[in-house]
Amino acid sequence: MEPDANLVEMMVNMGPQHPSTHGVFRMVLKVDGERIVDVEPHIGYLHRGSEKLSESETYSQVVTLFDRLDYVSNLNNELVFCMAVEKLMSIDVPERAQYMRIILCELNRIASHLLFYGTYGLDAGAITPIMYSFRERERIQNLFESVTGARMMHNFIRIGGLKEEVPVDFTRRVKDLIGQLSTAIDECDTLLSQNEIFLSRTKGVGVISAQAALEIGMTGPPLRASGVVEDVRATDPYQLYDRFDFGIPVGTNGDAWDRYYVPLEEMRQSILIIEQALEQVEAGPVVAQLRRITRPPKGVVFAHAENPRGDLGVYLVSDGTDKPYRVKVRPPSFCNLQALKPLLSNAYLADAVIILGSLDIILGEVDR
Amino acid sequence: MEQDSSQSSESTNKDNEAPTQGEEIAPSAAPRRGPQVQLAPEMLDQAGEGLSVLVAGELAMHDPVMGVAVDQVEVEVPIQNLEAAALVLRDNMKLRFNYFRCLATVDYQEYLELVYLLYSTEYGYQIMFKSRVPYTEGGSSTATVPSLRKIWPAADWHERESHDLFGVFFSGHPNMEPLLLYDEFEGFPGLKSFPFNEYEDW
Repeated sequence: MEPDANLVEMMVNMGPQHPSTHGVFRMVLKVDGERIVDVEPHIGYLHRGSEKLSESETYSQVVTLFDRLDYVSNLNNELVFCMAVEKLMSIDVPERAQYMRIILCELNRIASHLLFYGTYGLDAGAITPIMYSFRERERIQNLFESVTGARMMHNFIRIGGLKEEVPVDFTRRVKDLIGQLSTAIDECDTLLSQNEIFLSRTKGVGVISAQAALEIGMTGPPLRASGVVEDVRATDPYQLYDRFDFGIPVGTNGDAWDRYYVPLEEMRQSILIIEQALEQVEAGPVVAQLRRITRPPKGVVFAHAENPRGDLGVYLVSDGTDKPYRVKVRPPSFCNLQALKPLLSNAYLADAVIILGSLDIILGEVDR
Repeated sequence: MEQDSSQSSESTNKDNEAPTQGEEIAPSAAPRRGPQVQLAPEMLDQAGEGLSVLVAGELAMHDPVMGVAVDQVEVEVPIQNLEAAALVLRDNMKLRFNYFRCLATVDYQEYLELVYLLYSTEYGYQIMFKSRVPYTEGGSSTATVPSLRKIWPAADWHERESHDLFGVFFSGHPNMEPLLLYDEFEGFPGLKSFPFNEYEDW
């Protein structure tokens, strides 16, 4: 390529170890003065071959690998794989187990969004929000610890239901927790959302239209921020989500502020879902009667669910043995990260961190 | 009493493979070790059947083979018709598969199967759009798959990943650099033939 005499371009390397990437992600930015001309994202630093590894593990062991994909919303990941196997084997999961799954997954969604809220504040230069959000996230983690025995990597949702019955004081604790959370979310909202500096950093920055967002395959809150009403819980209901009354928050401008505000609003909707689930849940078994060794019939199946970061899908191929033949994960962060190129081109270099942060990626899921 | 119970448990251990023990669990136990394997259920609802008929009609020119994957419609086309059929799926006013969800590559040892998971935000349709590619013994692909990146820009990274892990070459794709693996990595770890346990260079 002939160098253009008028254009003085510079390459700026960001990452793989950079605080704003929330993991190991590298991008090479080509800048012309303050403007970004082009960006080349480099992923794969955290590639552990989870999909390939799944082929040598039994079905119940694969659940633990799914824990490690999106490592801040473990329960949601476990659910998707279990749903795929249950679909293939036509297992009827007991209703109590499904309600408990929904309660735990929605709590996990809140925990994940709180993490996003806090770290996004940090990306924008606000140190305080993460103190508030992590205080609340800690409450959720404590509850998870008492229910599943682990703060992360729970391995609690199993094929056919749950690992075991929840503790006796679970309902009371969840009720207390969501009471605290709804005040805390309002607190978080007032703390950052209308902050003058934050507004000027995020409003009108990194705008993507609904059409472009769909074309590039965006999903989850970043897609909804562009005004697309697309939520697997509503458009293709799984578990018992069709029994709940909840809203799908959407943005109007598709800018970084909308991508920040949609998750915040989603937390409120999650609390509504948990409240309804607690009212509806009845006593009963929490796991279906199954054979000790899971051997699904031969065939392929696709199951997907709305994760905090978007539509997580599993394409599962079974050859009738006790190990999956192929597990393909459709990671929402991976799909959202593809939008980085159109979002960053012609943006200011100083906004690179704000735009990357607004996509809310988890590298464990991008690289698998 | 204790003796009795220990005896019985011993006997069951010993008789584990005896026919009397086997008969009890025969109906479901028989297919799991035998050559015949149970097949996945087909639970296509009315909307799915409608979609299946619709897609078969609209793709009639491209030799579609219809199938069912539990609750989803699958359609397979020959690899030479892939691009044309994809265009129909995206642009046909009755289908409008405007959202590219995922590309799954599956190594069936004799051939590779590309599975495009598509979604129509307008009608809510989901479909598995499939095609087969032969590959040679060495692991490198012989057939070239047309890149669908121009039809669905979202396919970009998914195709790169498929090239990375399975060695499928997508013609017309501007950048086939490794995505998940590092540049010097040799071989295609997604393939069943990849020496997974013996690989030591890490």
